[in-house]
Amino acid sequence: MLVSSIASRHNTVWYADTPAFAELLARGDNKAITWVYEEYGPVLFTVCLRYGGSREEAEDLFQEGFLHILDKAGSYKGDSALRSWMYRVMCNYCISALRKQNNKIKFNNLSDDEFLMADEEEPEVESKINQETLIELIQQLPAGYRLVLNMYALENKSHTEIAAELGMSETTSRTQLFKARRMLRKKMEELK
Amino acid sequence: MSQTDKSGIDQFLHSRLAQAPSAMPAGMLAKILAAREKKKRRMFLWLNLTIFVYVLAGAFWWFCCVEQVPIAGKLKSAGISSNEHRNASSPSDQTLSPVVQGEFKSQSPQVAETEVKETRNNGSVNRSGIPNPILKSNTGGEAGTAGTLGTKEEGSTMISPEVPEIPDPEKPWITLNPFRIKRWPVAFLASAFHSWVLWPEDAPKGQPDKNHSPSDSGMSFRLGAGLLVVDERFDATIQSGRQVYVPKFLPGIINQGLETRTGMGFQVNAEWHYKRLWWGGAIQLKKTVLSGTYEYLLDSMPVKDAEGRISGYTALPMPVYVQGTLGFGTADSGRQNAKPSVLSMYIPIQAGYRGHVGPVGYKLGAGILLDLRFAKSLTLPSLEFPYKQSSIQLPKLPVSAQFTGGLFRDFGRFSLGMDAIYRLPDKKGIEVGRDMAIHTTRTAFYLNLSYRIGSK
Repeated sequence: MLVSSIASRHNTVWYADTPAFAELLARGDNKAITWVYEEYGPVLFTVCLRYGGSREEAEDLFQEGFLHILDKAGSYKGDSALRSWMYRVMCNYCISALRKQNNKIKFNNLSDDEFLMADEEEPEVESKINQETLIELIQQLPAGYRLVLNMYALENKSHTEIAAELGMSETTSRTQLFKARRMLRKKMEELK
Repeated sequence: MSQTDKSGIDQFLHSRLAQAPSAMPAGMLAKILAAREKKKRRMFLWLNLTIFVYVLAGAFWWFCCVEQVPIAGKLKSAGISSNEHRNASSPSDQTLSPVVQGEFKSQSPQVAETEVKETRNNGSVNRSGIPNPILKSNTGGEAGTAGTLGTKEEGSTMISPEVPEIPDPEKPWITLNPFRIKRWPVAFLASAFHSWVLWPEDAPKGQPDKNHSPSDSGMSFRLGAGLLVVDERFDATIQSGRQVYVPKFLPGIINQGLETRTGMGFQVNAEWHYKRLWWGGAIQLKKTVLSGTYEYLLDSMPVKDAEGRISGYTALPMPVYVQGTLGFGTADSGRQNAKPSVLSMYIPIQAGYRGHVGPVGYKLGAGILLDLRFAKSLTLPSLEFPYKQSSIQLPKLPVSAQFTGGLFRDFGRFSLGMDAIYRLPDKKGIEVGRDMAIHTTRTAFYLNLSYRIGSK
């Protein structure tokens, strides 16, 4: 195959951002899949760790999400880097899967007073926490909080987008984010 | 800290986790590759299972349901009226009616009596009790003595002439239900259908549909068993089955795997054929969805005279059809697994012309579709990447025009064809799922199999 004939990593990276390479993935070329797995897998797995409630759940998400990416690879047009495209697909897959798995997520709203109080709270963020611990703390959040926090803080989505995607109001999205931040801060302070 | 939307903790999380790699679990790649293979095998298995079920259902139908009714035109030429023919071919009647026997006796008393006896003994009497003259002549009888049913060819067998057919005026095309069992008044029915459907999320805004993710689409299989009750003019089917959804199956749309959802359903169908009209209805009850249809079909079929020329039409003075349906549902009717909180009604009304060019028939029709829903808004997902959702405000009286074109080919009592429906404007999610149909948001393709009773 073409992939095997490309010797240098630099060339492969360049070639990976083409629809032809994505087509190889879609067709199930093992070498192409292995290359993508080794090159982009670790970042994609972090996405799953952030969205999953545990490491086991994250592994399941990664497995299904990676298969989903391979199935979708045929639709990659080369408009953006393959890595960015895969990242977005994995994020969307995780959001979709989390929604399906957590049908009973309760999204409660806060009163205006609580919001005002929330704005006043701005404690220092503990910056010495390592990545693994931080992921564990996020995984301990309730599914609804985790979902909105990930979408807002890490995917840079607005409350309008989150509300539309999750079928909730913007106020509810803000509430979830507020509660998620508060709970995460509390957990981080407990570590001190 | 700033008072902007992004708080310190958000920025902290972003800087630490947004693009950070994590150590991969051991053996994950092998698991993925194995899962991919397993998925391929499951897909292949589903395909084979579908084909197998179709073949099985087809064989069951062919051996048990196909009625060997003699052509009405031949009966006509033998001096038997269509009413007599119907009397003779009633489901439970396996004997010759006195009228039919009398007709044969008057034409050739000795031969007819002998033939009836002989052919009954060797099982070649068809269900109307009419002996087969060709069979008789081939088995050494006196060729050409079976009345007007055949002509004698010099020195050998008798060949049945091509006699033009006269359709039964009270039973024109019987469509939509090829599962007709005339032999048994009550019979076990096993059926399998599949349909390609799109079931975009249609929950009202603010109430996410728990059963669906964005971009859901796919294929569904229905496997069912039930009872079919058949009377001369009335059919009723009581059927219960399991519907299996295989979402995200359509090529080009998100393919997430063969994740299946199943649901039990219960369906009652009833048909009534009266005065050249087909009246039918169905009630479908699923776990959370109740839907029903009532259909009306006026089909003006050509009537040919003894020389094969068209002498008129069964209902109106031209080959036209008018079809109307009233459908309702506690959800979007026909849309699988839709939320029951949405009440909808759809009323397609269509009329058209049907003609022939040689052996191939064509039909052209136009009509309107009223799609009434008692919900203020729908949340529909986009089927394109990245997944986005948009909210569509439904007009109070959504009307779309629909145009139909189709080709069909007659094969004796069967007609096989394909219809295509094009609707304007494009209103996502209004298609109703039907058997053997391919839908997109604006078009629908139906594979039609029709079965005509009583005439060729």
